Amino acid sequence: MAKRILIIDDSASVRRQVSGVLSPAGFQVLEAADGVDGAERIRAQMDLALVICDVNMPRMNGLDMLETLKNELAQRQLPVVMLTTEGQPEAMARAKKSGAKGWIVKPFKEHLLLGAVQKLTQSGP
Amino acid sequence: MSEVRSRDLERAGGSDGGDTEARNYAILDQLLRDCCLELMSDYGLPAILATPVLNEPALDVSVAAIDFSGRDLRGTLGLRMTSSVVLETYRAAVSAPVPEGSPEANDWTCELVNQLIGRLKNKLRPYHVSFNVNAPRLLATFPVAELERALRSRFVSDRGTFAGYLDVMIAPGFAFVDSPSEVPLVNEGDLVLF
Repeated sequence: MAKRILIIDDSASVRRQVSGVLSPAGFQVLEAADGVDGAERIRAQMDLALVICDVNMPRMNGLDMLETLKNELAQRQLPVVMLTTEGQPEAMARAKKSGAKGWIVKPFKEHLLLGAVQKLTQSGP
Repeated sequence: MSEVRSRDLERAGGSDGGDTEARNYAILDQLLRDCCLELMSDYGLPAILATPVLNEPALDVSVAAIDFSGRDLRGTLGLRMTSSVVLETYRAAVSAPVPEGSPEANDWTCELVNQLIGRLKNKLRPYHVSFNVNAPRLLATFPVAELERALRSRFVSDRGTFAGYLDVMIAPGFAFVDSPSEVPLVNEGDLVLF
């Protein structure tokens, strides 16, 4: 069964871009458009293998979502990788503290994204 | 004391204030150019700086803007592109065509200005300048009056033209540091696994 990846980004173009990289590699890609939607999908979808999440989004940004779900993500051992325009160390530190496993600055390199996803989902569902 | 807008080079008093303002805007102008060129280059669209054109035709162009605010700088960053640039960069990013003027093309236009402000924010980091960013917005018409006072750079590529606009207000007394710090920063395209 294909591993399920959730991409959370308010840009449909970015969601499509990520899906275009991961789907051909055998992953099933689910989508959410902001932190509120993303949190709901994470809680509802118990078989996710990994989450890719933007930072700056309406309704709830990615870092706030990460902090809100910190305990649940840790319990489920669900890795989260942030995908964002930001390269600020403070934001990265905040994400790491909340349990994120990685940080990618847009525009992403396809082989790096795919490699990270493959590595982080090796032992997961 | 009122903030100084991009083109309102009011002297704060004496030559020092004017020199500081000129230097501030020169740095921002160069950063804007660098960000625009690097953004488009990353999507396979190398370009060169071109002469600004007054009253450039508004047909077949897409414009998006994004507001930002911080302690030292606040304002609006705009990105104006011919449709061909939008289509070409979308195709490079998503490996698929997109209909001109479609919701997908509009979304991509907004994402590009979002990435542009991200680059600018990263480049300002060594100057210890930061700001918060709002959501990008697509502009139905070109805001001539607003953006005429902005810093602007226009570029030409073999796929069309694009221009960056930075309508920025600088806090009174602010001056960019003489020597930007070497700060740890993750660059565009980089991946860090914790």
